[in-house]
Amino acid sequence: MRRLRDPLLWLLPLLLFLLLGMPVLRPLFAAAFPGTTPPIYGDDSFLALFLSHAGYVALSSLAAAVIGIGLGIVATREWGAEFRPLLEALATIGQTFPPVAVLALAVPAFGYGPAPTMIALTLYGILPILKNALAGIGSVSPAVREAGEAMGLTPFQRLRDIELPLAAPTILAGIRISVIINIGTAAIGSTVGAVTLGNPIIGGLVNGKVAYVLQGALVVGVFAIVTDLFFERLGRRLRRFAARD
Amino acid sequence: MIELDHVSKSYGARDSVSDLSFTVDKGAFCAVVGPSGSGKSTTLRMINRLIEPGAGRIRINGEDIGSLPREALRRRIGYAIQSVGLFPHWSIADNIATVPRLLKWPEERVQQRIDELLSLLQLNPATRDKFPHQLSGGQQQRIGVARALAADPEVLLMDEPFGALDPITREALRRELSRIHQSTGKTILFVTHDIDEALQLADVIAVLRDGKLVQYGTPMQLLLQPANDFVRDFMGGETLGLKLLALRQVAERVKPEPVPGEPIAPETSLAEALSQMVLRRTSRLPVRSAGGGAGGSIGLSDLVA
Amino acid sequence: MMPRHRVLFVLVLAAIACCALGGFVNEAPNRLVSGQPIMLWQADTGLSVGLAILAAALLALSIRGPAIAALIVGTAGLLLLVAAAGHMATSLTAGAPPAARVSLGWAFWASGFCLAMSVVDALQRMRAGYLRVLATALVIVGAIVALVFTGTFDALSIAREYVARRGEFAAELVRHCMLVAIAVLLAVVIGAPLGLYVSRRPQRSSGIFGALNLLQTIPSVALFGILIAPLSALGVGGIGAVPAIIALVLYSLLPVVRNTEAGIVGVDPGVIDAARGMGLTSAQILWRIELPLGLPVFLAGLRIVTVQAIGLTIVAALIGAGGLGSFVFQGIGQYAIDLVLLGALPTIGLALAADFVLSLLAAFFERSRA
Repeated sequence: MRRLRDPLLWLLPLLLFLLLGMPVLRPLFAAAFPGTTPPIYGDDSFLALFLSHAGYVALSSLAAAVIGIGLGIVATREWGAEFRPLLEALATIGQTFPPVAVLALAVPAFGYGPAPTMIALTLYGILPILKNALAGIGSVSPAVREAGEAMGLTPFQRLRDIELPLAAPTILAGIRISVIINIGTAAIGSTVGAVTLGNPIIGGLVNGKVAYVLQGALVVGVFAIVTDLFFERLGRRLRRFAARD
Repeated sequence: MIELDHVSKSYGARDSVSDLSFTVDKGAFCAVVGPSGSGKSTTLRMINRLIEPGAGRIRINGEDIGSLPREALRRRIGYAIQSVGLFPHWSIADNIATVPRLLKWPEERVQQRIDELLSLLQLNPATRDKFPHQLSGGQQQRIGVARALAADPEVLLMDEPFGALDPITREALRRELSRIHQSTGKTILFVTHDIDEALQLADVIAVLRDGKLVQYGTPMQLLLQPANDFVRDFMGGETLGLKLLALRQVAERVKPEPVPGEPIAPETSLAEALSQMVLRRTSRLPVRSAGGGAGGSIGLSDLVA
Repeated sequence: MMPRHRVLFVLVLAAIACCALGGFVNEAPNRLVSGQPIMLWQADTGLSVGLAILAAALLALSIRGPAIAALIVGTAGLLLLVAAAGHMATSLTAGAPPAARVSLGWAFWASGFCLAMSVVDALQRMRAGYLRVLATALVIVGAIVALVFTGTFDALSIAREYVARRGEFAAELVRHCMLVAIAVLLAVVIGAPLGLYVSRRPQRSSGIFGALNLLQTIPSVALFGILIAPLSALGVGGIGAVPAIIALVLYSLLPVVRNTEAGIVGVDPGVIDAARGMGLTSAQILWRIELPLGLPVFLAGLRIVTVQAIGLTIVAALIGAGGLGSFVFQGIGQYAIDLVLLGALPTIGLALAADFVLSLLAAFFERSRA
């Protein structure tokens, strides 16, 4: 019974419907917004916009994860420990910057198009992941570390079998935050030339076509919620797998 | 079999261990005692190279441990610490199996060994599938010892393993450790700040102070011939005599004269006999015969003979 | 001679490398063309020598040296760097036609960032408390303000942009702050009682937090967009401040509710027990014990909410709410980088200032309860 009440179960089909079947809602929008022609945003199909948007988020989050976790590992090694306070300060101060500002500032450096969006998403995406990697790996108890070392596990084995599995839930939480923020920032990337689900929204706002704004907002909103739920499931599965105290 | 040869370690200006030299014979139980900051833990951790010695050599079975690859050395040495350090995300079975699997034992042998160790440490076989957070402190420490023994190392290093437990569990685990030592004949180095624990368990004791070895000898030697006032005070000062009583048994002093009353066993320590005399308000106690024949007795004056 | 302070060493080398490789300022004949990079060493000899000396000093301090010295030299270097940019702009525009633009180059930003980080590193090494950090911040901000008033930066394109739009800037800045203030106030007025309610009725918590979490996940531009439609149908000005404030309040609710609840729930139950035993009523316990003790956690939430609102208000400009975001998006539309900076930099400054002040406040209350 609980399975049927799972929100993911009906949100995922909703997303797919919106992506593929938006034209079906044509009469609805035509009735609600009689002044808008065509009633459905037509410059790109919503599926194409979604794939582009998802592409930006996926690539930037992957790069951010690699860099963020990598830096987190370095700063928790004995030889890299000196850099940890500064990296923690950077991750904290950096998250005070509005993500939109980072996007805007990327333009003078990288021009218009996909580049500033991708770079801004990656840079900003590193911060929550780095912060959580530092916290997660750093929270492995010293007794556990010492035991691992004393038993003859090589440094790589300790990282792979002990530190990372124990830090995984925290790191995943950081990746989740990063991805959700990136979904939002990527939408604003439309203003600097990236093709994303923000296109109908921004285009609609500029041209006064509220119907497009709603359509775009609906799709990107459901996309964000579905992604968040997916991460929540993943997090729960991870916690069950790596039973912790 | 474990030889420390002029070993030193300093941190900046502070000498943690200086010019330490002693040898622990194969199969001996050596307690390393001393006040806080005397370098006991540092000494222990230099043997499995968690800390690298600043100067001097450490040899195990004649081999200089500095010349061996660190991980290979550590897989041959068991290590048990006060905070245990069980891996929280692994089951008890996986925790115990850590070093055997690192040594690439066949899985069947690994599983056998897990069962062996659980029974050796008197744990319910069902424990193997549990997780550390589900066990009590005493059980966790037993698993810690089991994990240290898993790959059947020749040497066992223990750093105040029972320090965080309640007195009853501590006593039980001490007895178990003694039993394991008798039956397996492993060489054990045991750090403790509790002199009574050392006297109870050890064949030989190393007394450290400010990183230097002050005396090295059997419990008897330390009690009867303390090298200086510090050792005398550390061994018990004014209660030294009572500790001596704890080390000797009634069987050594029993006289053939029978006396009525509930007899005590011949293995009873003289300290316990004294305690019984006080409780029963008598100066002579009956002693059970070892063989089963007529018993003897022990008197107050026999205690101080 | 291995450097003892590797972090500082890396930062100084990075700063030097950036200035050696990249344009410190960019010079363009007019606003539409992107400029030619001008290197730092092409500046006035006095300034370049001064900076070189400070850089060498910092490098030496990274090999061996006390943190306080690194703090002083680093701060001096940062201020001199900023002054150098202004001075270079002044001298470059001196002989040039009035349409010429001198803007800040990537080497300026990168090396400025490295120097700022070296100041942070020095403060961390000193284990500086809030007081020393505040003092350092005041010195830097004060010096920059002084430089502004002496006209050091007047030749920079961003200053010119500001001067051209002075009135507009003031209006939008005020508007931005008003939007944030109103939204945060409303969020507290609605959220704090809600948080209190949730702390008293934990069974409701999952439902309420679930809904609020849902809101937080929705991208800001989408929420702004979704609110426009029904509001325009209701006849409430569809574009403008109202939907912006509503959206801002909705986004601010979760941190306020969550931190109010956490603050109250986090009070030691032993204290409450003792209070009840002494005969205090529930209301008295709430006002005299739970709220005061929960204050630091609540202030931490307030800090998160304010910083978040300052950032989100930029996006609100897209729906016509005004604020500093209007400069950002206008600038993006016209490819006028300085306009973008005119919007983005003050926002970042506001966010950092709000974050610092509120964390100071939270720390103050925390300490007086310790």
